[in-house]
Amino acid sequence: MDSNVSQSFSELKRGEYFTTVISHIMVSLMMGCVSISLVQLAERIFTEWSGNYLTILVVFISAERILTHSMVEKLDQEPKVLYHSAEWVTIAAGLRLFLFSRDPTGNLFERLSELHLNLSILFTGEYISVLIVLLMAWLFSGSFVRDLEELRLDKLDLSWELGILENRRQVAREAIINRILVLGIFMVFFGVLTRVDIQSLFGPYEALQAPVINILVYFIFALILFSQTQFNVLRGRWMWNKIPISQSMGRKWLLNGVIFLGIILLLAYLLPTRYTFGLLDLVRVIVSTGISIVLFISALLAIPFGWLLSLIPNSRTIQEPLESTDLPPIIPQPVYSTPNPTLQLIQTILFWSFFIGLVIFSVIYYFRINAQSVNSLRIGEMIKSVKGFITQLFTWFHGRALIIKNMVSSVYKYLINVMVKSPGASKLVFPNFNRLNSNQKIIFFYMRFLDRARASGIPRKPHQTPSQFTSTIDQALPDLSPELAKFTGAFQLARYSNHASTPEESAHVIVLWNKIVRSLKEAGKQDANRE
Amino acid sequence: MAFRIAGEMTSTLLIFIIVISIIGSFTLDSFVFHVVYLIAGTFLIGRWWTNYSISSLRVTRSVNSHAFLGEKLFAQVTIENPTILPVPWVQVRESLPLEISSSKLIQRSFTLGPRSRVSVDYTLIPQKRGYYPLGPIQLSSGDLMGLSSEVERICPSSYLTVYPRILPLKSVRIPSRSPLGILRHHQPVYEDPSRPMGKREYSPGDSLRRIDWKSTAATSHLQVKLHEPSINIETVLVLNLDQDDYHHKSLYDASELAITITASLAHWITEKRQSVGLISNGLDTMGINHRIDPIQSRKGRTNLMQILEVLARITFGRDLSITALIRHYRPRLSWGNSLIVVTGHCGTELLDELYQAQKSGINIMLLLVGQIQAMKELERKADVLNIPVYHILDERDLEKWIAT
Repeated sequence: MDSNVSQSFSELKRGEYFTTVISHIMVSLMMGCVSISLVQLAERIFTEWSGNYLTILVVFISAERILTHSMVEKLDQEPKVLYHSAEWVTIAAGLRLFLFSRDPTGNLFERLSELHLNLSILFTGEYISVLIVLLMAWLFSGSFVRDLEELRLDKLDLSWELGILENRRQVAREAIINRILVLGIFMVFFGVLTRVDIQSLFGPYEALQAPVINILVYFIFALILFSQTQFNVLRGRWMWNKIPISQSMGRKWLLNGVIFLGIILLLAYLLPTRYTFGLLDLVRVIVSTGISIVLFISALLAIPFGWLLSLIPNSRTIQEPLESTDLPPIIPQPVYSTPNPTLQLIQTILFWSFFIGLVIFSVIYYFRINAQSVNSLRIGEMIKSVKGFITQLFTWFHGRALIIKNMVSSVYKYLINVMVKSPGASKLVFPNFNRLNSNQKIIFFYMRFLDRARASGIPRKPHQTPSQFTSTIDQALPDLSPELAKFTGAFQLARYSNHASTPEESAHVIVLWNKIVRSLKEAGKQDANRE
Repeated sequence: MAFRIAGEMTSTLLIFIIVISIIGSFTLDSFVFHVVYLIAGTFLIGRWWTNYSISSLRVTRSVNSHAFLGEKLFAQVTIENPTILPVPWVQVRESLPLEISSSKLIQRSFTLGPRSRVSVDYTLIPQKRGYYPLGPIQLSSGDLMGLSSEVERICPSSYLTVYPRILPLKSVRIPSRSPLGILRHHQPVYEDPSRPMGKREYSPGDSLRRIDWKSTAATSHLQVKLHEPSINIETVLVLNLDQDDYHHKSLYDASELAITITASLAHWITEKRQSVGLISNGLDTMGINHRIDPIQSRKGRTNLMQILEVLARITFGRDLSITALIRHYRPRLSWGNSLIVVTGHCGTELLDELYQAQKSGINIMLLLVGQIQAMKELERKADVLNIPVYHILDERDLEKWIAT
């Protein structure tokens, strides 16, 4: 059970100090990550230039801005302007000296001594560019730290109305997040530019395939900053409402954040980042797989009808099953070795699912937020009617599927009732008749003869042998005694001996069978008329 | 039930993810998609985690559902996380009526580990009778990064019934003609053969059945057994809570006093192991159509608690007069029952109805509460009809009445 002892204001401030330090460090490091992208882009354009020092300078300027912010804010307007001017003169001078010291062509003192002759050597291209970058870093860091200060707890905040205080803090936090995301977009863009071969823009410069780990690190730092600022906002709200907070909240917040971030990073690493098939190819594969499944089910359902049709003489043999569709050939990947095609397919499906899902989510979200505009365009009605049509279509398909299912089930039940449940009935078999040999055909027709006899009111008793049953039938059909004897004899030969019947014998048995069945029918009709 | 509070971050993030995805689609560079997965995954998983966590939380409130005035109640709200996922933060808010708690709002914020629980304890001291909702408990939570909106969940309230004040009555002369009870009575007509009191010498006129032969043999004089008289009280309390029957100046005080008197009488009668029932024209929030069902005259603590529970929740009614109520209920009363009417006003109609009831063998007692107009005239009429009337103006009068 967690302790619910509330925190005093001083304890809250201690916890907040730790959060603030982390936030400031994150901001400085994020500025450094941005500068790495800028340096990589510049090095691609100016291949002779090496700008590794810029990252360190940016981090330093950012840290300086953050650390001096609280002191500067206490100054009035005029002293503040004076201070910033002095600050920038110092930075500019320091940067100039640093660049002079790095210049391999000349010595620092020689350069300094040339100054009185020509001041223009101060303002080289590299110097001005680096100064601009440092200025941007200084400005961004200033705006970050101003917003972070807004999120800090202050006893004076208790005098504010909660609604106003909450809004100010939320606005500050949203500003931080927006700034981070915008910078992130630029970083990604710069990163892509350093890796894409755009000769038309940059001339005959080869793509560097520069490392982009700084971009990922930037976003990791960003997420940590998001987490810390969110905690600050919540803590302020609880303090204002005098809501007791558990003492271990800060520690557990950090721990949960680290674990959560770890899981997200693992997922981001594992999920596919490229696709093997194009979207249309993938759709083609999915649709053709679906059609194959439907055809397979249809083939299964058509088996009984096929068998019935095959009983008709001169019926064709059963066709070979349809060829299964193959996956389209994998697009050759020069960099990667050819992996498992199934895995590639799964990866591609995942990738496109995410992409399409994102698009659909965005569209739905957009229409939900702009419901008024949508209604005025009557798109909502269109969507409703399309939705209605799709629902009706599905209902229709579902209905047809149910009808087919019921038909098949009733036929099956009927056959079971007729064949299995009737006493003495032989089991219903659906052979492919054309594949039966002559012996099997003779046996088949004898079994059908027994079914017909039972249906005509002359069932074979279980203890009766074929000869005994023939005597019984003789009494009903005395005119067909010879045919019956031949028919039964052929069956006995086929069933109980090693004799291999010939096709002529089986054809003759069929003729006999037809005669016997006709007579049975006539005998059945006469009995019915007599009754 | 959980619902989402509107947030603005979703649109900013969506724009970011879309732009980055477009860049990635054109360039097919894998690191871009890693970034998209990182940010989109944080948003989506955080959102899912929050929804799942808050809907999985088990919230229980442990507190007695009934209490007497001034009784200290210890309440505990336990929030349990049965899942393996921790809950980064939860804010609990429980609202309480001021009549039972010194603070209107109980609030806490904490974090919940996997399969852990947190308890929030507080004390209630009811100051006024009634039926009070405790809660509802509101839970709020959100994700670690604050990228998706916070989620709230509202758990249903439970209710606390605070019984009315019960004053200890020394003795109440409730008229009764039901013989063979357990209460001692002054009238010798109600001698109870199961309660022997002594013996005396035979007087002409004594029944031969009362002769004690053993003591006669011992004393050689005829001795007769003596028995203690006793009565049985079957009482129905009638509480009038028609708002129009109370003086507007003392509407609240007089009605509460009436309820207190009714509760105290019910308690006293039950303590004497007699039967007591209740009918009223007030309203009960838990009753069918908010009406109060008559409580049958029965003995025992269970019946008393049932009466007290109704008296705890009862409020003013307006559309049923006490006279009509008594007239409707009177056929169910049998000869010898006692009817104690507690009301803020007694008009001619009510007096007539009570007289009719008395004539049919029901014992009547009339308690008038609060300011009564033309009290003397009323007392005179009641005297003529032989209906005992007591007037209790306020709590001091009640204390005097209790003391006598």
